[in-house]
Amino acid sequence: MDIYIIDLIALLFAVGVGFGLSCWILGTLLEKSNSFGDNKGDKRYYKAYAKFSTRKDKLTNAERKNFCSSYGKTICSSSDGPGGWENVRKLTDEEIAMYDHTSVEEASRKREEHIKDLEDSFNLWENRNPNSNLKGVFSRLDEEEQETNKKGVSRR
Amino acid sequence: MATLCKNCSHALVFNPETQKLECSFCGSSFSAEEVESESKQYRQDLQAESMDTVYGETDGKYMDCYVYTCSECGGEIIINGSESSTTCIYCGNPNVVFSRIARQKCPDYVLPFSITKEKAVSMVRERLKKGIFVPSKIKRIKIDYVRGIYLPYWLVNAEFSDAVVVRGEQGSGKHSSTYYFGRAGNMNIRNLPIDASKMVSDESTARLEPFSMTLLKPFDEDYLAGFYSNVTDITYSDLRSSALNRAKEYFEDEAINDCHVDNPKVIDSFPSIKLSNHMIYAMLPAWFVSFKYKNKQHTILINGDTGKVVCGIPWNKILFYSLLIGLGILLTVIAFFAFKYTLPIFLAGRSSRSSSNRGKLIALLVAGIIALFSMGIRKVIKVVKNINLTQDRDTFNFMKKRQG
Repeated sequence: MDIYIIDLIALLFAVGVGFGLSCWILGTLLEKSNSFGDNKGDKRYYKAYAKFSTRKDKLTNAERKNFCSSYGKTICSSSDGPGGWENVRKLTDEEIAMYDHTSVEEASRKREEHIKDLEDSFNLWENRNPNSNLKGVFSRLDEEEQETNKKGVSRR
Repeated sequence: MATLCKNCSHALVFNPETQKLECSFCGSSFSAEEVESESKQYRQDLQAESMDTVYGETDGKYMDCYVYTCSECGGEIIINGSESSTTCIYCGNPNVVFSRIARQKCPDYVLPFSITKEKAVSMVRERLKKGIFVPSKIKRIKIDYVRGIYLPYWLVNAEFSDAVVVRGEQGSGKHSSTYYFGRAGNMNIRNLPIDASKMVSDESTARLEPFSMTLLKPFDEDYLAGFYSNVTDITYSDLRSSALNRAKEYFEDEAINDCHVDNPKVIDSFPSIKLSNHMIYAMLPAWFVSFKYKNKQHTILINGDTGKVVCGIPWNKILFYSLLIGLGILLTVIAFFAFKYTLPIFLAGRSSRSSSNRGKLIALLVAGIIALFSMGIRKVIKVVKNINLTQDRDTFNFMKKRQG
C-alpha cells in the first residue's frame, strides 16, 4: 500500500516538475525566438535615482492606510506651466519667467544652462558614429595631422 | 519643398550610410551644414493649405488633410495636420513642409538616421530567420511597407515626488509572512525623452529607447530629406501624464529594490511631478516595417540610430505545444523515477526533527514547481503582449497614411 502512495506522490511531483520545467524552458525559447526589444530606456540614462526621505518597515494597518497621505506631497500647481489643454510648444523667456515666478534674465540663463547641460553630455571630442564623416566640434586629430602639428610647433 | 543640388538642381536625399545629402542624378554629395539654401526664407512662408479651402468644402469633409505643392513636379501632396516631411507620389522626390518646422516650431536637435533602409530590412529578415517558433511563411514573407520616420520628442527635466506602500513576503517556508513597507522621497530626472506624437502609442516608442543622445545634431531640415517626419501634437496634459508614468515606474522599481522582499507589489502611491519649463524639442529616427500575416498587419519598429528591433512575431502554436507536451512527458518520466527512488529515503526518518525537515522539503518542492510554472507562463504572456503591440492598428495607420 505504502509503495502505491509513494508512487502516487512521486508521480504528482514529477508531473509538476516536468511540466513546470518544460513551461519555463519553452517560455524562455519562445521569448528569445519571437519577442524583440521588450525593454524600455534604463533609468541610468536619465539619472533617475530616488532619494528616500522616509523609510518605514513592517507597517501596522493604521500606518499603512495613512502612509501615502502623510508622506506624499504635491509639488506642482496649475500656475507652474501652461494649461493642460494647450499643445506643447517652445516657451519664450517671458513665458518661462512668468510660470517660474522669476525674471526674464534668470529664465534666459536657465535655458542656456539646460542646453549646455545636454551639450555637455555630448561627446564633443569625437563623433562616435562609425558611419559618419562629420566630425565633432573639437575632433581629435589623426596621426598625420598630429605629426604636422608637432613639426610646426618645433619649427616655431 | 525639396533641398536642391547646387550642381544640377535635382532633389537631394539624406544617406544614413555616408551621413551626407546625395544627388541621385549627378552623384554630388554635401554635408547638411554645407547646404545653405537661398530660398529658405521664401520656403518658410509656404504654408500647407487645408483641403477644405482648396476644394471649396465648407462641411469639414477633409478635416485633417492639407495640400502642399511638390517643388519638383508641381504635383499635389496630401499631408495630415502633423506631418512635416514626406515624398511626392508623382515624382518620388522628398519634400519638407518648412512652415511646420520654421521659427518657434523649429526643433532644437535632430538625431540623423544611421541605419539605411536596406540594413533595416535585412535586420528584420535576419531576426525572422533565426526564430525557431517563427512560422515558415513569415520567414519568407513579402514586406509591404518600409518607412523611415523622424518621430518628435520632448526631452524633459523633471522633479518627481512619491510615497509608496510595498507589500512583500519575508522569511521562507512556514515562517514566511506578508509585511508592508513605506518609502517616500523624490527623484530628479534629466533629459527624459517623451514621444510627442499622439498617433503612436507611448508603449511602442518607449521600447525604441535608448537613443544615442551624444550624436544629436543642431536641427537642420536637410536631415529630413528623403524621410517622413511629424511635428509635436500632444498637449501639456499628455506630456505630464507620460512623464509621470515613466518616473513612477523608475521610483517604484527603486522602492521595491530598497525593501528586500519576495513577491513585492506596490499597493498604494501618491505621485506628483513638476516639469521644467525649459524643454528640448528633438526629432529621433525610427524605421517602420510592415507585413501582412493571416489577414492582420504587423508593424516592426527599428531604432534608426542603434538598430534596436522592437516587435513580437506570431508563433507556430502547433510546434510550441507539441514540444511543450513532449518535453513535459519526458521530464515527468525522468522526474518520476528520480522521486520514486529518492522519496522513500527521505520519508524513512521517524524522529520529529526529520519530520519537520520532510515538511520543509515538500513545501520547497511545491513552491519551486509553482515558481517554474509561473515563470514559464509569464514569458509566454510577455511575448503575447509584444505581439499585440506589433499588431497595433494605430501604429500601422500612422505609417501607412503617407504618400509614396
